[in-house]
Amino acid sequence: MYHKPFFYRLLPALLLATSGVSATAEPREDPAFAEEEDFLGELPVVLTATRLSQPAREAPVATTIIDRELIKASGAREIADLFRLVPGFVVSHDNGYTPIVTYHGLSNEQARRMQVLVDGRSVYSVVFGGTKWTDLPLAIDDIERIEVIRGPNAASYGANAFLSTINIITRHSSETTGVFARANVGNTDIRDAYLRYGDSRGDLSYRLTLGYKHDTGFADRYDSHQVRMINMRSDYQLSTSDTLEFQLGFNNGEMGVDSKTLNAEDEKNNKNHFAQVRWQHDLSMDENVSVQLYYIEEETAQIYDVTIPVLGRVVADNSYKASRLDMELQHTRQISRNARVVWGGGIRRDAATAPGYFGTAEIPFKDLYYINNLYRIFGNLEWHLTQKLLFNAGAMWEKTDLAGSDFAPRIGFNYLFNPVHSIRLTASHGTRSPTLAETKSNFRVPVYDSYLPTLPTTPSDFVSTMWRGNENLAPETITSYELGYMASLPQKGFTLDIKVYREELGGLIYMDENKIYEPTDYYDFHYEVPGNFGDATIKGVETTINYQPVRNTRFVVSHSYTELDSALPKLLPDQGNKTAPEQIFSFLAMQKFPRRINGSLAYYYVSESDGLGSGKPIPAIRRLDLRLALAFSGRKIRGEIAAIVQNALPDNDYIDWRNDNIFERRQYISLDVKFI
Amino acid sequence: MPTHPAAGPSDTPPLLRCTAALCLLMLCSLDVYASTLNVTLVPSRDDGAYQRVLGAIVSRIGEQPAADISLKIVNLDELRKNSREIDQAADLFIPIGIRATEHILRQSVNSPVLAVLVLRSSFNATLKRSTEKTPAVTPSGTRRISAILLDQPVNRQLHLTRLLFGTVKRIGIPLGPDSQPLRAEIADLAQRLELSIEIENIDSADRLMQQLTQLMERSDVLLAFPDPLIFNRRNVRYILLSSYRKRIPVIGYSQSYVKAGALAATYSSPEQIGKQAAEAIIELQRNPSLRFPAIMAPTYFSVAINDQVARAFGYMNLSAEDLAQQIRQLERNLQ
Repeated sequence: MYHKPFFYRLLPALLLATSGVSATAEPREDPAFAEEEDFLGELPVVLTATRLSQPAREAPVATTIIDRELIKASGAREIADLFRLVPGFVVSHDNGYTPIVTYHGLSNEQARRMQVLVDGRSVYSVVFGGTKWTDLPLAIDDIERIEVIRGPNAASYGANAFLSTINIITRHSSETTGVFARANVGNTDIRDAYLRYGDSRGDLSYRLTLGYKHDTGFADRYDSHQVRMINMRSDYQLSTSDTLEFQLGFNNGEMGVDSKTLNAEDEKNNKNHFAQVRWQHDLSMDENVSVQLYYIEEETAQIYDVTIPVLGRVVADNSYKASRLDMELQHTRQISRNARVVWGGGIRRDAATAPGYFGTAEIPFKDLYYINNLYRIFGNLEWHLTQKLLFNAGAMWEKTDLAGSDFAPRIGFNYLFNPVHSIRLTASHGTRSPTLAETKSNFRVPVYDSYLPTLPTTPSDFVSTMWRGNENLAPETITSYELGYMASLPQKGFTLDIKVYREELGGLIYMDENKIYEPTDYYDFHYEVPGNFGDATIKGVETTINYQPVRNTRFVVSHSYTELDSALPKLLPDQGNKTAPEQIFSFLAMQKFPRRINGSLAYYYVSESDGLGSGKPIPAIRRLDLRLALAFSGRKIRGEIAAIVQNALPDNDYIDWRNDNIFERRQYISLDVKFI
Repeated sequence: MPTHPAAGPSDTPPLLRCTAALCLLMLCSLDVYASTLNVTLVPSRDDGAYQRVLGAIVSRIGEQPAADISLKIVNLDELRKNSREIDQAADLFIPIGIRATEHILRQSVNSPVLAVLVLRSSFNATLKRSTEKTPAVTPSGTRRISAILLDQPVNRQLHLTRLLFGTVKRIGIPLGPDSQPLRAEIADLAQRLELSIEIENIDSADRLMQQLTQLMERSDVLLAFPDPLIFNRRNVRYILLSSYRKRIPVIGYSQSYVKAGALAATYSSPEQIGKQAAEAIIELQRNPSLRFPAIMAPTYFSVAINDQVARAFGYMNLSAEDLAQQIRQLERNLQ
């Protein structure tokens, strides 16, 4: 806050002038009088109806909040690891730097049935639909809160909010001023460093975060990674009714890749950059409008060039460049004392180019450039019909170039019996539009100098098609019915959240097991084509208990029971039924000890399941994470040093999604310092 | 010593002077033998809260027909113009608001002064400046300058906090140079109420935001005690938005803060302050040797609740009256 001397001199002069006395202001009197005026007079309303979010009890869909205390206590080094604490979620890894975050199973490495937002920006990949967690230019210390919406909710969160939505909210730049640094050092060559500088001057605040992350991943995989990121956020209070938020991010990483099919290893380079601006305008105390514009660019560069005896020289190009340009307008209005409406619309342009994926028939591949335009409008109504009965209704209508239009409505009632007990009954319908990869891909691999006996002449060059997209794909659909119960006793530090649900999914897009043979191919490879032929019914119960019996102790316990019945025509007829583990349990205990020591213990249990991508069964996982930390402070600094052990149980190496991903014990020391 | 009319050198009472629009005279009792208490009321301004205090005093006194109390209302601007005309015959001066208080204290008044509708920090500052000129206590021992404050007593705010949040949550309390003196009282009472508090001492504006952020990181609730450095019109937006982003409710200290976005507050309306001032006057009239304590906390108070904010924090149907009633009960028990 900077001092406004002119205003202070002017105010008493004006007041004295109006009361007819000469304007010889007495300087000593001014601050006291101003204080009295502030006390007795009207202050501007800051928390207007449009600024307040729905509390958990009034939300139409079950929501889990991960706050900063949980983030710290979990000992997580990667953002994706935080979702182990959410009931129904499983976090696995395709390799050391590729987390797979899934809800209710049914997912392969791409985990594309989930909307992931960072400050309102959709970060799931343009081409494949999954989220590349390690490529996000986001430091875990810059996160304020993560809201996980367990269930479809396109009306509130936009396209792709199919099985669930992860909404990451970063800290306001006025709250991250000063200098902050963190370093992590541990086994598997864990070397991370983060440096952040922020400042706030009057109406403008900003911060700049630099980050470096490195480890060597799984022992038996070629999956080391090092990632560098820069993130800048700036918030500007244009006027009493206007705020402007501006963000930039750059992420550049080198990662190891390995391929069993080709028996080869390589390095890839990933880039992920974005720019975003958001403007909010208060039209009045009851009305607010916001406009958001962002641009994301992602790039991967990696080509296998491998010579395999007899087969020949295989060149598999996994590179691609993609971009997303999105603009959205939102209008919020408290239309009466009991009802609030949020509605808006957006347009998006996803574009991608990838010689290997989207190539043409000729060699060398001509690079095609694909564009997918999306248009959406959405609306939400929260209406308190009575003191105790709340009606939530919403819908999103979306049209994409790739798959036509679809409609996702949601309707629900929340009944608040009393301040303690409440229930919720919601039905929602969601859709997931196919990705560029699912519709347009034409993944072809040229093979040179091949001595395969079936070729007309040897050596020969030919093109092998691995998979093709299907331009006639329709969106996947989900209809979800949810009955929730919440008990809330904030004074006892206790909340309970139980959800019972049934989800019916249709038109799930999976690869067709049928072979399609094109006569132009010289070699009798078959390739796969996706189609809308999966169906699934998922039923289950999810429970979370938050309990803080005394102020220094806090527990978060989650459990989910899931029954998945699916019909997916794949190699194994029943496959898919067990991609959602039947039981998932997580327990986190946080304790503050004397002498500024604090500790936490997390226990996770995931019952056995099948990995959809690999098709192989994954045994049950039990894992114990421990964290012990000591806070310290000096005249000018304040910080904490912590020791974290992940998978602390003895002799407990476990298979993480793939048989050669053996998760051994990870331990690291984390030191963070804030200069004050 | 007791306040006699015309205690000054001249025995003749001076002429009354009121602004025509504002003059509300209450006739004294006809009984010439009863000692009439002459009270001069000086509102800082002719409108708003000051007028409401005035109205409450006048009507409360009016309910006591037998009392010999003569109320005179003098406009501050008139006083300023004719500074010599301060009524030396008045037995009690009641300046309403800090500006009137400052003006009265700068005069050499021999009669007691009871400042009303003032904040502790500004009252103390004004007192300090003026005692350099006129001593607060005369040789005979009468405490001449007292105040009925706007600031709610520490225990009232802590009781409200405890009723709403129990004992499990950490209560963050920012204290500035003016509220620092309350620290010991806050800590002591918090301990007795089993509240877990985190105090942050803020002494300058440069690090205010940083310190508030740090305090909010280790708090679940923010409890405000008035201090112009921390809680002022310019900062209200930052404090309420920043705390809401972290989902930390704020217990304010005034009705206006609650309207702005604080979850709840205990506060005294101008009418309640006026009622207490009137009762002080009546007591003094009955017992002329009465000495007011230097600082008096407001006796009558209400609880303000922002329903929308309460709902956003998951509270339902909070009754301001019930909470006020419970706090009154707790205050009685603690005594």
